[in-house]
Amino acid sequence: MTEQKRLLIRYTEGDVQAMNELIEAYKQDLYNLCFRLTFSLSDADDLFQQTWLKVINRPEKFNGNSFKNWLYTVCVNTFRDGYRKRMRLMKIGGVEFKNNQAKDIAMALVSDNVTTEDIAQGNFIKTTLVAHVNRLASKYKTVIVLYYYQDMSYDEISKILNIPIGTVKSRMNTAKSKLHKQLLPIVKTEEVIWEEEKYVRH
Amino acid sequence: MLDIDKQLKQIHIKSQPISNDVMKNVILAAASKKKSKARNPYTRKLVWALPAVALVVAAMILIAMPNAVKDLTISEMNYYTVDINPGISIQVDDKDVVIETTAINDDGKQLLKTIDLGGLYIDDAIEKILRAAKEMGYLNDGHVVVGYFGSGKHGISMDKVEELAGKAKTIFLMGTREQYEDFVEEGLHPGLELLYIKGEELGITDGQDASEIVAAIIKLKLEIVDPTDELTPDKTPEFTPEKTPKESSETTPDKTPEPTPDKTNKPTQSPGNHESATISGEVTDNGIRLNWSKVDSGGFTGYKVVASKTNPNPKYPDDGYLYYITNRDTTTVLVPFYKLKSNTNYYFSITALYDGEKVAGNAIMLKTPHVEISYEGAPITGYATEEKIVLDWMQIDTPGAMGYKVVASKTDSTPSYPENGYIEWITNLEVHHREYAPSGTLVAGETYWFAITVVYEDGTKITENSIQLTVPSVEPTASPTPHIYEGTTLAGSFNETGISLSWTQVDADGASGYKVVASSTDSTPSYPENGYIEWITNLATTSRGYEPSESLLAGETYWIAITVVYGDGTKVTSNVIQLTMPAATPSPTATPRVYEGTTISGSANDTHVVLNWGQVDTPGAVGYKVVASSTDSSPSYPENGAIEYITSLGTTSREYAPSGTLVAGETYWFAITVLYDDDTKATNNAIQLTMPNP
Repeated sequence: MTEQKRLLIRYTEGDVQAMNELIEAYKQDLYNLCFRLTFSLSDADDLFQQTWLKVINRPEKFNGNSFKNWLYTVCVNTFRDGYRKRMRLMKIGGVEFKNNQAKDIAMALVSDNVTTEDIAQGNFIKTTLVAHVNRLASKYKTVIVLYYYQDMSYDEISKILNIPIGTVKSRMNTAKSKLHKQLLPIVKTEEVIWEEEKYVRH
Repeated sequence: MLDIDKQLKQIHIKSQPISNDVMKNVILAAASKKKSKARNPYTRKLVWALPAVALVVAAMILIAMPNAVKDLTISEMNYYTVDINPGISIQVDDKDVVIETTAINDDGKQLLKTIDLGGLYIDDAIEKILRAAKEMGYLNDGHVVVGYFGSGKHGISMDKVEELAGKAKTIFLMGTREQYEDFVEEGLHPGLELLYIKGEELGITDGQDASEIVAAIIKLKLEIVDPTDELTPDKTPEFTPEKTPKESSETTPDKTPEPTPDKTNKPTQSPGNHESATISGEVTDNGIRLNWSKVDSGGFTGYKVVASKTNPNPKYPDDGYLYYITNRDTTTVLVPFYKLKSNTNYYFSITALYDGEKVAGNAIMLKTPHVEISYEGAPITGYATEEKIVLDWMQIDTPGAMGYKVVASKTDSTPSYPENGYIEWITNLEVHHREYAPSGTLVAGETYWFAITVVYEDGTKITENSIQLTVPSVEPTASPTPHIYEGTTLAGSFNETGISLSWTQVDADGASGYKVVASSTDSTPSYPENGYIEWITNLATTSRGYEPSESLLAGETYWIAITVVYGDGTKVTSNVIQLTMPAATPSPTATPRVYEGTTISGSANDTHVVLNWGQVDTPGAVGYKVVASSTDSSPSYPENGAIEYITSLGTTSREYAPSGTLVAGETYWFAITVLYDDDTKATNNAIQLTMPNP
C-alpha cells in the first residue's frame, strides 16, 4: 500500500491531519498545473480548490497506484468540464466575453535569467505561443501542458487522461501542427521587424 | 525556421505562489468534510433533497424487495435522463428498474405529476414519459435526448423511442456515473451536458440549442455516434513494410479498389459464430466511401469502422476506430479526407461488435489522393456610415469550411471565436457582406474590434485580422433597415422507408418559400441550377419526408439543399447534406396490379356480324382493340392487327358489315384485346363467325 493510500484511509477514519499532509505535499505541483492549464491566477485558484474538494469528497476513488497521476486526472477533468462551462457562458454572453489573461501570461514567462534581447524578440514569440496554447481546445492544451510544463511522459499522460498513448501522440502532433500554422505568419512578420530594428541600431 | 517543439521547450513558466486564502479554504474543507461524516456531497445532497414522499416510496420498495436491499447501494445505481423539453432524471437499480425520478425543470415537474414510474423497467418508464409528453403537447418536432450514465448494458430500445417521438429528432448518448454526479454537483442538466459535449467533439460549438445540436449531429454523422477524436496513430508495424501486400496495391487501382484478395486480409473467425461485415470501398471526390455488408447475427451492438496506415488487418480495439455505428442497417460511411493523411495508403475494416465478442471483417486498402488541406481565413474590411457599420470579407470556398462567425469586442484588439463569442453565425459560405445598425449588442457610439473567424468541420478556427469601427451614434430614422437575405440550415436522416429533412425556419422579410433541391451528381445543388423536387411556400414548414420515387430513386445517393427564394428574385441556398434513399422494398400491403381481359360473344345475321363483350372497369384500362383473323384461331393485338380501336370503355358491342377487310362469305376468328396504360394487353377468348354474303 502506498503512503498516500494510507493517508487517505486515515483521513476517511477521521484523521484530518492526514489530508493536510497530502495537501502540503502536492500543493505546489498541483497549483502549477492549475495555473498552466488556465493561465489565470483567479481561474487557477478555483481549479485548485475544486480539485482538492473532489479529493476530499471522494478519497475512496483513489485506486492506490500513483497519487500524483490520480490528482492530475481529477484536476484535468475538472478543468475540462469547467472549460466547457466557460465556452457555454461565452456563447450566452456573446460580445462581451473578456479574455484578459495577457498579464498573467506575460508574468508567467518572466524568468530571472532572461536577457533584454530575449524579451525584445524571443519573449514576443514565446508569449504569442503561450497565448495560442491557451486558445487550443482543452484536449490539445492538456497534453501540451502536461508534456512540456509538467514534464510528464507520454505514458503518464496516457494514464492521466485515460486514453491510449497513440492518441496522446496524435493530439500532441495535432496541437503542434495547429500552433505552427497559427504562429508562422506572426513569426515571419516579427522576424522582419526584428531584422529592421537591428539594422537601424547598427 | 519555426520549431514549435523547441520553442515550447524553451518556455519557462514560473511557479506561482498559492494565496493564503486559497490554502485556508482547502484545509477548512478537509476539516469540515470529516465533521459531516457524509459519504460524499452528492449523496448528501441527494438524500436531503429528496421529498419525504420519495423517501417513503424508496422505503416501500426496500420492504417489498428485501433481496434487492444489497443492490440499492450508490455504487450499483445507474441513471437515465430524458430531455424533451421536460427534463427528467431516472435512477435505476442494476436490473434497470426505476427507483427514483427527479424533475430537472418545471416542465419535468408538470409531467411527473401525471405519471408514476416507480418499479417500472426503464424501457417502459421512458415509453410512459414520451406518451405523457405527447399528450401534454411537449413532444412535437423538437428533440428527444436520452442519456445513460452507468456501467454495463443499457436497457433502452431506441427504435421504440424513435417510434414514439414521431417527428422529433432522437439521440441516445452514454456517459459515466461519475460524469452524472459531477454534472449534478455543478448544477448542470446531465443529459443536455452530455449532448453539448458530444456536439463539441463533433465541432458543433456555436451555441445552438439542443434541437439544433441534435439535428446537426444527425446531419454530420447520420446514425453514427461517438466518433473518436481522431484516428488512433498506428502502432509499430507488426510486419516489415516490404511485406505490404504488393499484389493488392498493384491490382487495386486507387480509384476503385476491390477488397484485397490477400490472404492476410481475410476476416477473423468468430468463435461464437457471429457474422463479420465484408467491406468494400472507393475513393470519391469528397472522401473515402466505405460500404459493408449488413450483419444479421443476434446480440449485435454496433460496427466500429477501423483504419490503419500500417496494419493490413486492422481491427477494433487494437487499432482504435474512426466511427462507432450502432444502427445495424447503416452500412455505409463517407470518411472525409481531412480525417486522413493525404496521398497515403490506408487499410480499412469493420469490426462487428456483439455482446461479449468483437468480430473483425476483411480489410481493403485505399489510397487517399494528394489533397492539400488548407485552412484559409477570411480577411475583413469595413467602414462605418452615419447609420450603420458595413463589413466585407473574403469569401471562402475551402473544403471543410462550415461558416463564418462574426466577432466583435470592445476590449480585445484581436478578437476571435470562441474566445470573444460572436454576434452572428453565417453558414452560407457565399455570404461575404454584412451591415449592422446600432443595437443592444452593438451599442451606438461604442467602438468595437471586428473579425471573422472561419470555422472548419474538424474544429479548426481561423481568424485572419481585425478592424476597429465605431458604431454610429445616430440611429437611422427615414431609411429602411438593410434587407437581410436569410438562408436556412438543413439537417436530414434516413430510415428504411425514406429520408427526412428538417431545416431552420426563415422569417426574413420578402422570403417567398423554400425550394427543396436534390442532385445525384452536383455536390453543391441549388435552385434554379438543379431544378427542385418541391416548392414550399409556407415558411412555417420546416420538415419534409420523401420516399423513393421517380424524382428520388431508391438506392441512389443525393446531395440535398434548400434554396430560400425571395420576392425580389434573390436566392439563398442552405448547407448541403448527402443522403441515400433506401432501396425499394415491395410493400407487403400493396395490392398487385390486375389486368383484366374481356369475354367476347357474337352472332351473324343476313347483313352483319354482331360482337358483344363485357365492360372492363379495371383501373388503367384505356381501350379495346377489335381483332379478326381468318387463319389464327386465337387472334390478339398487336400480333394480328386490329380492325378497330375503341377508347370508350362503356362501348361493349359492335356490328360489322362485309367490307374489304372483312370479306363477305369469309369466316373469321374475332377477339377483343383490352389495352392498359402501361402497354399491357389482355385477350380472353376468340369466337368464329362467318361474314354474311348478302
